[in-house]
Amino acid sequence: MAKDAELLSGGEMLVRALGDAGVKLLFGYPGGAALHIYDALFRQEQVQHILVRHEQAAAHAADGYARATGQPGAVLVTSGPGATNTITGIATAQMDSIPMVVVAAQVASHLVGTDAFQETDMLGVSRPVVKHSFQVRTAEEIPTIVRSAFHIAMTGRPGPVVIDVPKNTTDPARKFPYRYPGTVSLRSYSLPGIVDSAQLERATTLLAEARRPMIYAGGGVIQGDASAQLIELVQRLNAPVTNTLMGLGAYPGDEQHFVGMLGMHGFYEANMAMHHCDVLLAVGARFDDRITNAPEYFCPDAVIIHIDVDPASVGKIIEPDVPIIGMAAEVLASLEQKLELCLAAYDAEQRTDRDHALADWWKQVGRWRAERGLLHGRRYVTQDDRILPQQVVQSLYEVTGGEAYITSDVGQHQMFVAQYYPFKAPRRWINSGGLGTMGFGLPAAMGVQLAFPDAVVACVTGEGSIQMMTQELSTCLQYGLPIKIININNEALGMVRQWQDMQYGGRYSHSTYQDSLPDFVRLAEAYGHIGLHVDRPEDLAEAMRRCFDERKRLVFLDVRVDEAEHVYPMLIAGGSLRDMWLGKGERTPPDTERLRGG
Amino acid sequence: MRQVISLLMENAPGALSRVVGLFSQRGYNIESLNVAPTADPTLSHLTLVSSGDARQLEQICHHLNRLLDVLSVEVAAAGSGDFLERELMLVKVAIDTGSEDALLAALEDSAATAGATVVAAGKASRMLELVATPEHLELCLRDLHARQLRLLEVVRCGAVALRLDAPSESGGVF
Ligand SMILES: Cc1ncc(C[n+]2csc(CCOP(=O)(O)OP(=O)(O)O)c2C)c(N)n1
Ligand SMILES: [Mg+2]
Repeated sequence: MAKDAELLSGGEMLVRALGDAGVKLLFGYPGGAALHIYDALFRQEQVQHILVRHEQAAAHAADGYARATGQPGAVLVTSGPGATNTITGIATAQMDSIPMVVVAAQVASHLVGTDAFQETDMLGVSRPVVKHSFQVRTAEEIPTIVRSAFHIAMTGRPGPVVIDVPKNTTDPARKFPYRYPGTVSLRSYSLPGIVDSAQLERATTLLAEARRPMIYAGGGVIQGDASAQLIELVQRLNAPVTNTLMGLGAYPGDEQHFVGMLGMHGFYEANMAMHHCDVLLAVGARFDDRITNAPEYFCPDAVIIHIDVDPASVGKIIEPDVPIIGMAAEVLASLEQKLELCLAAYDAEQRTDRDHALADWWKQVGRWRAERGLLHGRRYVTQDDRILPQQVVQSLYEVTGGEAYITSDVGQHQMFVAQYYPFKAPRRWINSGGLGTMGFGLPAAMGVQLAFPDAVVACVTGEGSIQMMTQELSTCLQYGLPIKIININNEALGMVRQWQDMQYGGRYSHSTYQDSLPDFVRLAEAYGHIGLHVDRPEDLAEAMRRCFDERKRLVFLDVRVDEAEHVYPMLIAGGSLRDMWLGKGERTPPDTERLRGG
Repeated sequence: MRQVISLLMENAPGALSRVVGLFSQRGYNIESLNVAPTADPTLSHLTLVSSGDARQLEQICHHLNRLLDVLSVEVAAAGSGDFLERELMLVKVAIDTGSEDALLAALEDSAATAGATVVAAGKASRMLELVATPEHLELCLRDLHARQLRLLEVVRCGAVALRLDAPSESGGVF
């Protein structure tokens, strides 16, 4: 034992180790089994604790913090209901590969397995939705477990890690020498090794020779901090680039190579370019069902290169021709260098040939944009008396200069932001893409605002989603968070209603509640915030400006919008990426060649 | 096709439930499962037999490899020759009073054919033990049935498998 090791209790070691792991903000909620830890928190200043009003919010806030900063989020909750309340938040983080460590207190070791008061098998309950989990057996293990948990959460494909901490291991009466380990040894944890150079060569040649290249970049580019490398590669290649819902901001949304989001509610030009490309480079994306539509019709002419840090994500749905396992930043950088060399070696004829092919391809993309481009033709018709949800997002974009951190909930409003708020930088767009968790937006915004107190942070929500988390308005007051809540209020579970319109003959089974909505202005005021309401198009811009002029206080802007609006484009199930609904009753022409079996 | 997964993992609490949980989570059926510590007591060897398509299985292997407790995963089609497979079976056979002699004779005969041993005797039963490949165990059971012997209970440990040589083309180390 080193002489200088300080003697600390388990609870103190836990808090100290969190601090030594770099945790500045710990989102949590106390309870019996966690009280030794909470007492240790009280007697230190390294880690600031944020008291939420529901443990699910703690997990989402830590998640929002992690998405915005790139640093792992941290959560502390009590056993039983405290722990189970975090499950939705943990699953949300797991689906989007967000680094997070959740410390869940547990009943004392001798009570585990006895159905003790507030005992839940947290390891068992969380197992399917974590990257890994630990149970503390002795207090001495705490520093090593905390160190390992953060290492695991952050490396490889990031994800949430749970630490189950029985109360007796945090006993204030028992002290141990504290040392935070400098390294971790996890013999069974393997990280991606050296990138396969033969595959890199193949990919380079394919990209150089592509007549209709296309780049499809997902959340992995953001999580892997590979945005700069993506931009360089796109410019070198001069190819159109699309981002997934999770990847928005990975490529600047206002740059000309960007053709918008792809997939279920993707841009017409993005989906068309995907469908018609001859070489597809997918990076940090996982070909999920909201992207591919029917996998058998996905990108029929394309040779596919897939870069991912996680071998389990490669070949899961679409078998790539060239799989490349590695960190996005590293792989994209070497591809770009190889491509530069390869193109430099081209003779004049090859160069002209390539330039012509790309010029034709861009001409085609330009036609798609002109025909149906969301931002190039404005695919909605404004009305005099009703505000459209798209207008709300465009107004938000104008007032914030496209520079705000935007969190969202889940539903039509989320898709409208993804379509009409072109993000210029990564980590600005914070939403639950994989799990699609309503209730995510406000607590995530708290995490972002706490990470960047001076930044402009807006939560775009719907009256359905926000009602899953209104209690957090109290947390916002406690910590003085000047979040701007933009409630796109269509008096309905809009996305559900849209599906009911399109597939269930307009039978709105349990998707409306007009007569029982709260007065959101008074609700905000009841929590000590500012509430604003707007329902006329001519008042929208002014209301939005007032909202953001208020620098110090939370403003809840309730915008009554036309409830009849649908999100378009929308992929037609069972088809390819070129099969889209473009408006009510209006679709892309059926692919006659495919239908004929061609 | 029957697939054999041979896996080395930490001999630690929770490790097995993570491995097994992955199978149920991905809708993959486990036919048999065997786990025991290796010569290094901090490690366990797990053999799992499953029938399912190879592509899905490859995915599962990637997911298994992603688990922190798992050190290595190997997979091969059963009977491909990549693995040596063995399984232990115990069979309790009824020896009814009145026809002991005929039944015992049939049992002895069947045991000799299969290479099994009668290892214990109860009041009205005998216990048969056999270590062989899973296919051979099936043949033995069929032979017992064919001789009209009444089987009271059958327990099998599930296959254990060990790779003979370095992984071949047909198998794969994930
Ligand atoms: C926790 C949760 N429950 C249910 C759903 C299913 N769901 C998806 S969108 C939606 C409607 C959301 O309504 P609202 O927040 O008002 O957004 P809108 O679609 O009206 O813009 C529902 C119920 C979900 N995604 N998350
Ligand atoms: Mg709504």
